[in-house]
Amino acid sequence: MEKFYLNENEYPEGVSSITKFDTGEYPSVVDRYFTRFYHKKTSEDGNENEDHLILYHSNRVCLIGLAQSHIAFKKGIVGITYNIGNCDRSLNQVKGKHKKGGMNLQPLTTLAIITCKDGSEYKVLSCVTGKLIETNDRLKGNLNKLSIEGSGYVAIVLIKPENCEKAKSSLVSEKDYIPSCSF
Amino acid sequence: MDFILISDFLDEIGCCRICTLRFLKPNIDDFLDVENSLKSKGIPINQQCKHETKRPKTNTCVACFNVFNFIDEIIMKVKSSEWLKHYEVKRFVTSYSLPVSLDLAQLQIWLALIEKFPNMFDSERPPDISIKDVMKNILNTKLSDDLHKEFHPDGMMINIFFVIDNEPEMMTKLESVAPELMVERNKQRKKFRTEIVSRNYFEKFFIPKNIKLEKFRQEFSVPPQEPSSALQLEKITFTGPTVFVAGRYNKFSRALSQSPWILNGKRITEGSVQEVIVDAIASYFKVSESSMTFMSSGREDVDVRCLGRGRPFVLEIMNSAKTFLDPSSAVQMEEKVRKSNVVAIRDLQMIPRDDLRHIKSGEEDKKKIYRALCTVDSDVTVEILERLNIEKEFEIQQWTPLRVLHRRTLMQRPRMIYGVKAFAVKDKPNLIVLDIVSQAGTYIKELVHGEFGRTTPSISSLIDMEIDIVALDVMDIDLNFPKSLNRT
Repeated sequence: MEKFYLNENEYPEGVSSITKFDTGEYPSVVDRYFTRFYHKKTSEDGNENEDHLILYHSNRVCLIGLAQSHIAFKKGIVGITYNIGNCDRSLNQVKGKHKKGGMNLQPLTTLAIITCKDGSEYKVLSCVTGKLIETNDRLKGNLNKLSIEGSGYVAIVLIKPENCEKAKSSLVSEKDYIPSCSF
Repeated sequence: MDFILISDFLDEIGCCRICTLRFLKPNIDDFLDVENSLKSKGIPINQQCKHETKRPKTNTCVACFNVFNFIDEIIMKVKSSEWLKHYEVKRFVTSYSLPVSLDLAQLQIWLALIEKFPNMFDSERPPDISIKDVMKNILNTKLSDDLHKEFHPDGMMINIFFVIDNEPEMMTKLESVAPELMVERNKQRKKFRTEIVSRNYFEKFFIPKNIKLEKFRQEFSVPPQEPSSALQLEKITFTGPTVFVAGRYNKFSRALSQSPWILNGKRITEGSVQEVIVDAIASYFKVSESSMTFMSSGREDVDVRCLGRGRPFVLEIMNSAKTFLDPSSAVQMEEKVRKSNVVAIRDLQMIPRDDLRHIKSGEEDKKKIYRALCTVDSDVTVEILERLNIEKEFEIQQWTPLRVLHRRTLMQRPRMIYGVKAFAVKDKPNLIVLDIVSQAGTYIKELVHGEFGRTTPSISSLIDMEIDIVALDVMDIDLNFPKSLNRT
């Protein structure tokens, strides 16, 4: 191992080595860039948790995914499709700086449908009003990724500046969040 | 061409001698001695005076409004101006702002000449040497002698403004003379909220070819009458040349942005690399900070240091009072920046405008060398370090990072990684230091952690485990510009 040690004497006077950087309290990638918000949802009979996780970046970019407590993780997920019947979200294309051509989304717009082992299906909702920027084609064949915070994003949605406050206030903050059906 | 006939005609309608010469296809240097040039074209001097008794009231030339009578006044005002001391430059140019009325007068004379001498004048090519060119020729020669400065396009600009009293009213008549020419112009005016016609627009479109003489005559006389309002010398202003100063900068702070970071009118971080540098340089060139433009070969994030030789930058200095930078002043500027403790500069030097392309090319295709401090969840092993010592170059595909997605096009960009070296840190088993040589434009933070699979391959995917970047330094930018001066 010693032969791999960094030679820290190359730094000029007055410039500290990069290794002197305090890594003690360094937050994770998600914690550095995003604020967690939740959209609470239960099945029609009120017994199943279908909560969504929204990772909100200060530049209005949102990663939409499932909360850890979503019932689908307990059941086991066997499929995801962006083809929601009348429209295939994975065909979404945006052009240029202003992301022209992205599908317009409302909070209750379906982004994708996931299928569980028992055959039941769950809709992944947009949760915010915005424009669809990107779907996550890496999820297909790697369905276990869905449970990883960040990498498990189902879609990237960009909110208009004027809709940000409204979007945030319609969601539940991390501090106030209690998973649905946790009684 | 019968110069005597034309000269007679111009004399009769009330042109001054210089203007008469302007319509006789002269060389530009003929205006340095108008009398002789007229004589050499066969115009006797006494003939010039022939009509003076006939037209006693032609005190004002119909073509130039006596603009050439201002030459001595201009020279006197320039010579006595305080600004001459301000600008320590050896070269000058002159610029003229003349009322459109003079263009209108030219058109009136032009139409008259075509009417009178149909075979001698073209309806598209101007019939004369322009007033501006004659003024330039006469004034530049005289000013050059009087100011002991060389006439040169890169010099300070002496701007000479003439105005005329009732010009706007007169211009409204153009609408009825040539409505079709004003359609486009009115579109432009709505957009730029500018004058009725600009000189450029007039000179380009208001030419005999586009004008119906009968219609024109309803509003304007052909040939023109003596001007009813006088031309006035409004002001003379000075503009210094634009110069370029290049250097390289180091940034030692992880809390300093390259340019002022202001969001919704509020400052996010105090100071910036740009402000520290500009602040040290502005006073020497006697300019305000706002007339300096900072350009650099790329930029680093606010929390990234820039070490080594530093990052090449260029300052564009407009309205500069100086065109040189003496080495001792340069060293003083470098020392002043060093006192900030967060920024240092070196190799400060003037560069020609052409050298800007080096900076621009450095943005796209130069190699950048980085050092990244990374953490892994478990202890670093020899296997991991060996896997990350990569000598062979490889290509990555990088989707636009989420943190810049709001202002950059979403697309997958290929980037070359030319090599990676991995180091362990003594007594800190979960740290890895990576030295990365990459193509300009690579987002290094995303290259390390992979950004949820949006950069592939990433350092994380290469070792198939989570790895995060906690600190980053730029170690070198592989661009040998500006040249190293080896000053100490």
